[in-house]
Amino acid sequence: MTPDRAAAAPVATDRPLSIWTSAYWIAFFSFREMLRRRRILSVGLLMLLPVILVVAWRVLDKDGVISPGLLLANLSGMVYVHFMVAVVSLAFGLSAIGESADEGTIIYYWTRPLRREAIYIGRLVAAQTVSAVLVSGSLVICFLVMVAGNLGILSWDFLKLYVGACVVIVCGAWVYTAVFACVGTWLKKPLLPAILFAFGWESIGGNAPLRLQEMTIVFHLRNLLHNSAPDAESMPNLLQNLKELFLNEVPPSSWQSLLVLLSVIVVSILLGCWLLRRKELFR
Amino acid sequence: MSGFATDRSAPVLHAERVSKWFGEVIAVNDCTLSLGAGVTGLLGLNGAGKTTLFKLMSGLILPSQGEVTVRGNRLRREVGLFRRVGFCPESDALFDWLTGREFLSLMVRLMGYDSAEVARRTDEALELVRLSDAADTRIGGYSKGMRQKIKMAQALAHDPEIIFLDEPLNGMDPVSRREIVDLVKRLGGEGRCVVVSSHILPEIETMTRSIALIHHGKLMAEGDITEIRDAIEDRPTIVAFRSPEPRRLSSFLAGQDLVVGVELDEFGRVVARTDHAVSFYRELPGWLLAEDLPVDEFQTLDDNLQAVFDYLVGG
Repeated sequence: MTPDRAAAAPVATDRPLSIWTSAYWIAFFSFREMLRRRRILSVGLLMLLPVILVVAWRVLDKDGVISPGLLLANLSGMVYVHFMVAVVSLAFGLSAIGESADEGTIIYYWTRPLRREAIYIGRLVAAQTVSAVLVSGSLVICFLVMVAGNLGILSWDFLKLYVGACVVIVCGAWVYTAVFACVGTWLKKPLLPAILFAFGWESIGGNAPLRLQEMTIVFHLRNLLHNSAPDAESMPNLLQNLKELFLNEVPPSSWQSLLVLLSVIVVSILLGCWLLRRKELFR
Repeated sequence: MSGFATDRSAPVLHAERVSKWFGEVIAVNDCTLSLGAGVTGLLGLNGAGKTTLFKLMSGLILPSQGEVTVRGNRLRREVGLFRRVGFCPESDALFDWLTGREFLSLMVRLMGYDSAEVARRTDEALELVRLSDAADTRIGGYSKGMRQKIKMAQALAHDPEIIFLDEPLNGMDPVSRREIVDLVKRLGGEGRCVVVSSHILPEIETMTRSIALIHHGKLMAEGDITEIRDAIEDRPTIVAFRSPEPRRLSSFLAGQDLVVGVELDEFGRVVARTDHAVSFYRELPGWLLAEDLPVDEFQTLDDNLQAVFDYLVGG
């Protein structure tokens, strides 16, 4: 560095960078980093599973036994919400902070004038964006396969169902990614507990009777799907209707479910930031 | 890099009675250390607590007891102080998919500079470690030595006042080693507080005479190697003289209070032992002139870093 810079060089203030500016740069950089991870390929391929189901529907269901609306409702309620969203969130949420700490690259953030909250939020937003991009991409391909050469299925109801499903599924990806990012920050080996949560608790608890199911994320996602298209004869909707009929269960409103999901995100972020503030690096 | 107009006597970095334990294992035990401008070598055997102390001082881990301050402020609490700190980790972890230039740009950007300043500092830092030619190559394709250099560059690009270098010469070829050693000395000479951790003593010795030695989690010695050597009272400093009149020289030296023993070795040298080396060196020219004692050459046999290290840690 040249001597003429000496006068201007030392930074006048010792204040940390603004939390939003630093979170923006970290998110921008981390998003590109996550897109270059090898797992993007495997998760991307897995995201083609619903597309294969739609292709199978196009090929096999010549007589129109399964309507496009029913297919979409079942795909979103059973395949996406129960499986795809959890998988993509596991892949990118757990690693958002945990992997960076394990690898030791987080040291380059920690030795900058950045608040740890900014690092956490930046990495989380990047992971949520990647998760959302992957599930959205899968949904868009499904839609294109459904309507290609089959424009007759395009109706207002179908579009409403599709857009509603997309919003709920992306929302699900955000919530799960936030939860798994927190778990990844907390635990050294988070994979097994996270899998147990995603496919154990969420599956069992989500189908438990009465209030217990309301303590799962998947229940609220299903509830949002149900409320966005109550008439769709999908499996989750039929189950919900049966519960209402025989158990007198009154599901929460969409606003209540949204509030619960938002609370899960906020609590996960607060907890994750707290954990990251206390985290120490030994590598 | 620019110079730093700092008060060289004032401590920049201070660790006050710092301890760190992991469960029942005490990694660092009640260390008090003040570092000012210049290069200080942090030494210790593997497992001595050197890395833990290094990380405590750089704010990467919190002390279980005591506190570390930078210019009177706690680094971990006042993260804005990281603008004054450059840290070159030992870990080889880097963003392999980025080019050297992209990596440095991000690191400088996160220091809060605007785009023009980011570009300028990035170019300068690349030039400083002589990586300009490889600036647009992915870090994943860098050799070990180049990876060390890019880590150095990110630690220096923002003109820090305090620089932590953890095993900075790992994997470097001899030419690069010399360049980095010169760079480290220059940084210390500019008035920056440079802390270099290494377990390779000759490496440290080429950079500085000022050391902090940690053993079993305790800070065993801190200061100039010669002064530390002088303070080791149970091991007199050994000085060898070549003289055309060895017998006259040895009998003169034997009569001095500062000298605890004199002998002639197998090479015909006069070997004197003193337990007050600093005073001995101060008096020596006067004695030789006053007594008209001819001396062709003299050298201290055991005030090098290796000897000090061995005496202190019992190696």
